[in-house]
Amino acid sequence: MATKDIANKVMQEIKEKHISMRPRFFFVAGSFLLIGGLTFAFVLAIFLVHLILFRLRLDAPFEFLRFGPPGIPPFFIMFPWRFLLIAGFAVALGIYLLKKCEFSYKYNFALITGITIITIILTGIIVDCFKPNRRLERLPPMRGLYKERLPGVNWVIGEILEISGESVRVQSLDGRVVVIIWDKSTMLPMGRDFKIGQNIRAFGDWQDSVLHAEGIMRGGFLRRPTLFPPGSRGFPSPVF
Amino acid sequence: MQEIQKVTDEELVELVRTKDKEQYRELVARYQARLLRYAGYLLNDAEAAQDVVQQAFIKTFINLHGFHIKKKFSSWIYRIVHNEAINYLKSKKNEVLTDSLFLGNVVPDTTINNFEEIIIKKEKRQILLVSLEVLPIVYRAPLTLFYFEEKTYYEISDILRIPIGTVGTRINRGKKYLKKLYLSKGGKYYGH
Repeated sequence: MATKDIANKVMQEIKEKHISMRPRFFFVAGSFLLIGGLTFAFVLAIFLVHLILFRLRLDAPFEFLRFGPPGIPPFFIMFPWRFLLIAGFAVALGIYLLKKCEFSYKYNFALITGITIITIILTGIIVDCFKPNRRLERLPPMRGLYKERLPGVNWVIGEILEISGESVRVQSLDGRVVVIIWDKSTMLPMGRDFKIGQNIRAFGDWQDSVLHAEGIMRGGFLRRPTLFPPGSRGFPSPVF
Repeated sequence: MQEIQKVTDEELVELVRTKDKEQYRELVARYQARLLRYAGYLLNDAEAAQDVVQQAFIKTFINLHGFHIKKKFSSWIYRIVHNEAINYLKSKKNEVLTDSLFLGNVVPDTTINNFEEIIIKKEKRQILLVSLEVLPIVYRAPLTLFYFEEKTYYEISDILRIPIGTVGTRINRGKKYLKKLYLSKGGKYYGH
């Protein structure tokens, strides 16, 4: 079977249909977009890792689990799911763009993906240690991310203003002043030795501004892991 | 004319891009036979292979500025033909089977004189080629590139965009699969 002369057919088609080459800048722009997209995705993911760690410290949702099953709903509401979800999308986008790079097929891509995810998490942790929130929360677009205080549906986190018998007055994180009262059935996993100025968290049923607590515990705010011990020269002691 | 034939593929690409688009004809002429052969092995269909290769050459022309001059043009254009062939297969959903006459005529064998040997060798080759036709494309492509197109593992890695280790794995698995098919179709194994 004779092979048709493709060269003539190709050149004829190029001339008849006025087919032209894509200009060089098309490919240069494509490369820039790829690099830009990769950078954006990974920087966003690293920032979100820092933000997740910050919110976990501030809201300490895991502390609610100390109350057992009743603490599960506030845990789910307080956990920073949306930041985790967006971080997941950012990482997925970055990995998708990484696959488009010239070098990616030469290596085991599962390994590249694993190393990328670990690097993003570790970098986010290291960035978090340097407390970027202190500068970023002054910027108006960022303020909401750092200062947002979720109103408690059936819980409150705040500072004790006054102690009176089996009740305390507390200023919550969202600025409200509420009263928390307890009785014999209230869970007190860390005892009832409360002090003015102490941070506590409680959950229960609201009646106006009074929370009939099913569980109360002291503290619950986590400390930031630091690269350097507190009090080291140039590094203040760890606070938010 | 003779001068243009001495120019490397990469230099010819640069010439087409910057000075004379007509020289693209020379580039097509250099590659049409081998790309038709490769596409034929992938698609098992002479007509489809012609269309795929022609389309691949058009796409290559359109994207010529996207070729990095320091890379190998051969690997790049094989990659384009491979992608076009895969797209064709996907559009057809089922792999087109058996135009074994096409495959049988690809490599004329003129090395043996004995009539009986010719018959035996032709039968063996037919069995092998028919076995190749039914091999899954994931093995068929690297086997074809290695044995028929005489590409190195490195080049096959660039064409198929898989790690070099995976190239070796697929070739070995393809050979085992092929041997099994060959024996099941009545081929005799001479221990090589």
